[in-house]
Amino acid sequence: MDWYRGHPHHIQYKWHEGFVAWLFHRITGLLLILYLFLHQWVIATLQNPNTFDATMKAVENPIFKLAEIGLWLVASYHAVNGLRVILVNFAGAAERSNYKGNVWIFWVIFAIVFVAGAIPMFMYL
Amino acid sequence: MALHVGDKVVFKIFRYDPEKDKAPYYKDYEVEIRREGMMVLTGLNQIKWEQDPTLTYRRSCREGVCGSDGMNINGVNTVSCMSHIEDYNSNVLVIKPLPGFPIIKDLVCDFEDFFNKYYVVKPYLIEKNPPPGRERLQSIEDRERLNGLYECILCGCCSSSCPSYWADPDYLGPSAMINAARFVFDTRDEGSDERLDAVNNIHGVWRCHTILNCISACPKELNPTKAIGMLQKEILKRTY
Amino acid sequence: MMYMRGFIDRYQGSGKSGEWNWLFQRVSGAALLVLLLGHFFIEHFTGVQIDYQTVSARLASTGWKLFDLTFVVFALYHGINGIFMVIEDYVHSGWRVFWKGFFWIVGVLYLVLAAITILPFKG
Repeated sequence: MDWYRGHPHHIQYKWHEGFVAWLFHRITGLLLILYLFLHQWVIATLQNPNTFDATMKAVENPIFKLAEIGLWLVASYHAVNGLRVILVNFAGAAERSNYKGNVWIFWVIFAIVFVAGAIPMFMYL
Repeated sequence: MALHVGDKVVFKIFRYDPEKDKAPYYKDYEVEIRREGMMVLTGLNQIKWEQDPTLTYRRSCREGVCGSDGMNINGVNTVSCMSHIEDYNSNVLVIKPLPGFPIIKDLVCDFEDFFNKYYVVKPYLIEKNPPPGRERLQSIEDRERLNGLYECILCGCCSSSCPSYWADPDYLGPSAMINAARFVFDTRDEGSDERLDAVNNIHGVWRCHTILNCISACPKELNPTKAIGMLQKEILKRTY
Repeated sequence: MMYMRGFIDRYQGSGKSGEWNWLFQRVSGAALLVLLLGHFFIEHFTGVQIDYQTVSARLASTGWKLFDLTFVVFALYHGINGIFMVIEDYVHSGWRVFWKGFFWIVGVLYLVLAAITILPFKG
């Protein structure tokens, strides 16, 4: 009786606000844990002052600075959306009347937080 | 887009007869608007009665009470008897069976798994003590807490719209859980401990990722996400 | 198959119902909001030149050691628990035990790595 269960053509649903927010939350979460592993590994291998300073010089490169702003994008998204999830769980931020509007409010807050953090990062680019 | 009597709308319908077809396909039907505010189910009936009697779908009361005709119309789950054709603002309606459910034929899905999960939460009043006096009375305020929980018609739209439900075959789903909440928050009920036990596991309330698809799907305008949140808070309250 | 599923679920880890993990995922998330903002502010926003001198001087103090260790513990817990949620979502065979065990080991190893990186700094 399991005909077609799980077939991609069958599971196709119109994207809506909450679904997109969740999808990005999951992707950014996986990116962040990957970054954490990488970050910790790099720091752990830099025990000697010379290699440490050499690597820090290398990451002063604008390409790394831009990647850093990408990291801020991912991290601030995950942080602000995580706060929204907590509000949905504990503060009733998903009433029928406002559940879609709240996701849009969250997008605006995320944009403000991201830009506010990205400006100083661009200044030291 | 306003539709008028005499206009034509195309229904693109998912067809699959496992005894004949190797793979599902879509078939186009033309439906004539014969009345202002015509429902999708009326269009399906028109096809079945006048064009193609082999088209299979469930329907019964045609007024949103029996919950038989849950289906996916233009990407959103709903019951076809409660959705106006003109609300979709489109000349073409793509009609599919509920996603994530096994298909029996055309728009008819297998609900066995869905109802087994419904029975897991014991969706009936559990009595431990005999009623005080002649019957169990409930104050108006206590009764009002059940508004938004008791109206569920078990159409399967919410569970079928939930990505957690598609991914995890053991997930109870929003529908079973809103029905659990309906009895847990009923003051007359005395079995809330065993009911909360049934939903307090990784395939129960903690599997909800607040994706909110269930809210947008529910044709009875209920809020399963909120109901799951109420259950989560109740379990946390009883543990700590 | 159904029996196997029950078997896997029963032995899936210490947090049997998932309640504690769910709650602490929120708690650690809220804590990370503060810790991450602090971490980002120090490392990326102030524009101070980051070299071995300044970093080791900062890490020599117990307060900063505590801050960074708390940050690592919360971040690792939050991240690995998040991976567990993804595994529970999509892996339903015996592989679930394997993947969860794998990430348990990775988590513990990284915690040890963080401790031996942060703790030895002296002023």
